[in-house]
Amino acid sequence: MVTKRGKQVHLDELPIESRTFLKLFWRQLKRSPLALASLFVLTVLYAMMILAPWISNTIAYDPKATQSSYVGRISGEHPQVNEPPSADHWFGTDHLGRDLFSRIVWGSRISLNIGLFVALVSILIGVSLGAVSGLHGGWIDSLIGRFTDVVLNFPFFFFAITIVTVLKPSFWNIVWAIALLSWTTICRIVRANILSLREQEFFLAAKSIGAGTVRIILRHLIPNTMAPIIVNATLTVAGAILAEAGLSYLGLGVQPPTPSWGNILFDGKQYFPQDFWYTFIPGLFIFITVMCINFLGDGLRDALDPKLSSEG
Amino acid sequence: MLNYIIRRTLILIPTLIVTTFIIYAIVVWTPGNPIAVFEDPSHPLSQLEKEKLIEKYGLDKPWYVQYSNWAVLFAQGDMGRSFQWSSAVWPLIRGRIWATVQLTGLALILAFIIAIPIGMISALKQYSLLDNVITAFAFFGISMPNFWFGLLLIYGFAVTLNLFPVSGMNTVPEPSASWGFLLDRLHHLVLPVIVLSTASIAGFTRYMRSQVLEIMRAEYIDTARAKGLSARVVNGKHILKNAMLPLVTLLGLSLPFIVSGALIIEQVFGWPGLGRFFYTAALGRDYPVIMGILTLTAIVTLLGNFLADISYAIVDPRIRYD
Repeated sequence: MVTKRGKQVHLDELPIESRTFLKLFWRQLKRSPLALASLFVLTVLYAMMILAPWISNTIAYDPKATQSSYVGRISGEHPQVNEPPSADHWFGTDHLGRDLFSRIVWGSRISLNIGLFVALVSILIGVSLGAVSGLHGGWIDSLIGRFTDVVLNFPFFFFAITIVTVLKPSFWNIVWAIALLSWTTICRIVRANILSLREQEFFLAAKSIGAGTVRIILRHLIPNTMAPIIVNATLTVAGAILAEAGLSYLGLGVQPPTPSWGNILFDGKQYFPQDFWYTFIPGLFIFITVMCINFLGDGLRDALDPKLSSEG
Repeated sequence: MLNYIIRRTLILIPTLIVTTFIIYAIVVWTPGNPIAVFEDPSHPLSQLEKEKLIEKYGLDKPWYVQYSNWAVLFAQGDMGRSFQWSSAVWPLIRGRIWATVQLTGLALILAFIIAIPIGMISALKQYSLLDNVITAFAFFGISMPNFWFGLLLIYGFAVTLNLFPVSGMNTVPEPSASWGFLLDRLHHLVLPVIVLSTASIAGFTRYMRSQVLEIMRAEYIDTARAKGLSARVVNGKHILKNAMLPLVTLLGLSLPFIVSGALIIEQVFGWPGLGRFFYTAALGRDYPVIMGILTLTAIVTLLGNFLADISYAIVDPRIRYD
């Protein structure tokens, strides 16, 4: 007999629920209000990114309409250059008279996507190198280990700036520049995990029934190291968004006229401190996004790894 | 132990060679014409002049000769000559490192002084209101784009309240009295040091907190309590001392921060340090300067990791390296 919702029930009467990875994970995550709130904010931000064309067509302005090209749609009045936030232009207008709210909405496409792509590329490089390293061992392991050390020696911003200036700042060059410096942690985690997993019996069992290396990696080893990979990928997204913003602040982000939160801030910097809101608003978006991702990452770590649940 | 140190030292050199080789490959051999730097659009170079420049900078030689020439000179302390400044690279760098170190060194010291007690308190009072507040601040600090934080501080404390200077290292003209000079410099340091230390404080606090939490669960702490030692002795002697051990590693790993940590903040506060110098060099494709600074930071990083490992092995007798 067990107690369920205050009633005594026989064990056999309890419904059998299968606990998939996702369900377990959701159950844990629900306990952390901060992580849930962050997940909600991030969902809104990503929805905004996907709905950008619709938003600028219906409730905001065309992000490309400058003061001179502007045809009034809501109020019929010509917007001014560097207009402070108002009911008409929620975040004000920029130095060319473009609606800043609309540019922030469109800018999320660059900032949020760079985070995602950097994480994807880092996982791809980190997991494959880490898996090969841990599984193969021997000289390949040492080679990859030394190579990881070398990459860890590159000073992050100095190196990213070098790559971006030498190759020209574009979306993909920025993704590559950041990703090539971000895969090392994932690689080390995967390697260490695989080293301990290969000592366990299920690994031997899989091998003894003749499973190939690729199958063992994909079906047995990777799923078992999923938790730390996901947590680390989350932190990589946050780091990449900050790095892109930093590069943009130096004028080495995605180039205008494409808006990104970073290059809006870069433009606004010329009108600092008179038009303070111009730099404040894009920075606030970067800050909130990165903070939510960090909270979510922390919640995920607690949810996915019971051993760590009380630690920092 | 000695064996371990020797082995670690021997690995340093090949690692450095591979690191500089990759950096060299990326900086110098990327598509694009390295002598384009000298090209004045209104005054195109003649074929002869181009050939002379190519020869002067050794660009006509095969890649391995180019790299080994550079590496041999570097090993002798010669970083080459800057394209932009027509001067040797090292004196240019040396002049700017000091400015950067004042900024980053102070920020790092401040971070350690603040983060150790805060992280400790946060762990001792786990899940209390205080712990939650500290944790929230730590997340703020980690997530804030530091240049934006810098702009906020400038707006609040320099522009609106007029308490601190907006940018630069000193008031112009510089105060002549040595005391006045020092105070003036400190006055200029306040805002950038706050910005720089914030992220480090946040990170170190989290680190310290998890260290202390882990140690609190150790059996020797239970033993100490069971012996009837006061909370003060247990916290101060048993927990704090053991939690400080890994900070030695953290100190070593923070070493590269001293050289390369302030790049963007120097830009924000108009601080004439190494980061700003690097930025101008990168924009101007001043290869010798870029190579010099990147290699220097790589050396500092390597040394930092090396010192972290060695000192950890020395302070913690439990670690055996054979």
